[in-house]
Amino acid sequence: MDSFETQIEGEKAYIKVTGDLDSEQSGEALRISFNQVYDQGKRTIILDLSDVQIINSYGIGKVLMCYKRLKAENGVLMVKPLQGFVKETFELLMLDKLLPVEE
Amino acid sequence: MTCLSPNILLVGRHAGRIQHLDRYLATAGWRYALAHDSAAALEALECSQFDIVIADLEFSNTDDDSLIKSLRRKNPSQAVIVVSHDGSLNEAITVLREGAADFLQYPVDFDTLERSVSDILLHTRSSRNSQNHFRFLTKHYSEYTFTSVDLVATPFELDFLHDLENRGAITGDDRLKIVLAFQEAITNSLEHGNLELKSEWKDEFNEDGIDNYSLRKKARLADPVYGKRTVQLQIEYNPAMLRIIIRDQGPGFSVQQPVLTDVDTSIRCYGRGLAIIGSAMDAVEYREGGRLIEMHRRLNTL
Repeated sequence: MDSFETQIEGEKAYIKVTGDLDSEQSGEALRISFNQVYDQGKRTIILDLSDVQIINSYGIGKVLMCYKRLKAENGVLMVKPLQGFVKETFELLMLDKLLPVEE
Repeated sequence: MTCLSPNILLVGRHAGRIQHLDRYLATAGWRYALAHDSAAALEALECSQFDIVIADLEFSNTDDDSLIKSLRRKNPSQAVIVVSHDGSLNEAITVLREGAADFLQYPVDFDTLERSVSDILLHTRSSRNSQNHFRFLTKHYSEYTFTSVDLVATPFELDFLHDLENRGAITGDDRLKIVLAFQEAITNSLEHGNLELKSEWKDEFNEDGIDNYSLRKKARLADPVYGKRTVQLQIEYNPAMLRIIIRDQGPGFSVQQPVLTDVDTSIRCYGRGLAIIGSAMDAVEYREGGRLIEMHRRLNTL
């Protein structure tokens, strides 16, 4: 896994994260994918975590790194509707208040 | 040797050979008990848990011939090392197929035996188990010690939790949460404990875009001062409770570490792992200046 699938729709960019977001490898894949769309000037980026079963504090850290970079340029990081354990973890860490959901 | 004190059951009827092994185990400082035949071995396993059974087998003896099967029938995950003075290649293949972890011939090379014990405990023998998981943690009580370097090299997956799930002691969701809490706690012990890495280094990058945290982690693992520090792990469960204790050799941390109370805290680097641990476990206690974490999780009655 070098990077995740990305898709551009107008001013929005989507990153489809697959597998678990709990390792340096998956974190690096997210960073690379994020950079790909960020470097194209996209400042509204949506993470699709619907296929992610496990996310740990390391993975959360990488998501927040994306959040901070966008926020610094008045951009926005959003997530597709979450479910299961990932949703619980986001709620536990109050990330649901930080990252709007794109319905 | 990464495991400081494996608990071994030494089985064999030949006094001379057993005495030789007996003396070595004593010299190595390993905990062990002796059983002089298969019946005594099975009886000992009724009373106690052993990390490894080292069995001196005589293949001409039918009692010995069935020992591996009997041991594995009693506990499918029991690790067994066979030593023999009369075993042929065919017999070695047979015992390995029956589930023995290793086969050694007399005269026993003790360096080889030590490596075998170490490999079983760490379960890094990829030729036997490509998953490379800690499958040995299936007993009701296990105690192991790993160096920082070993912990990084070996992924931690607690297969005994599948057994607990299959027996209805926890749900599938519980298992995921416990695994995650365990990983967070181990990571804290390794990275913030033994390696003394600071979370704020994750936000510092060099000119190649690599964060300072990753760079320092690599450097400290290569430094014996940090790399050889150990993490001790105790896992115990009974029909009502799972208990996990992790102890590192770092400088400790303030147990008044911030907890997540607002969004701003979650953006910072601190406390997320601790919050995840707290949500998965029923009780979490830090002792010894933050070097030891003890986690409890109630189980549905087995």
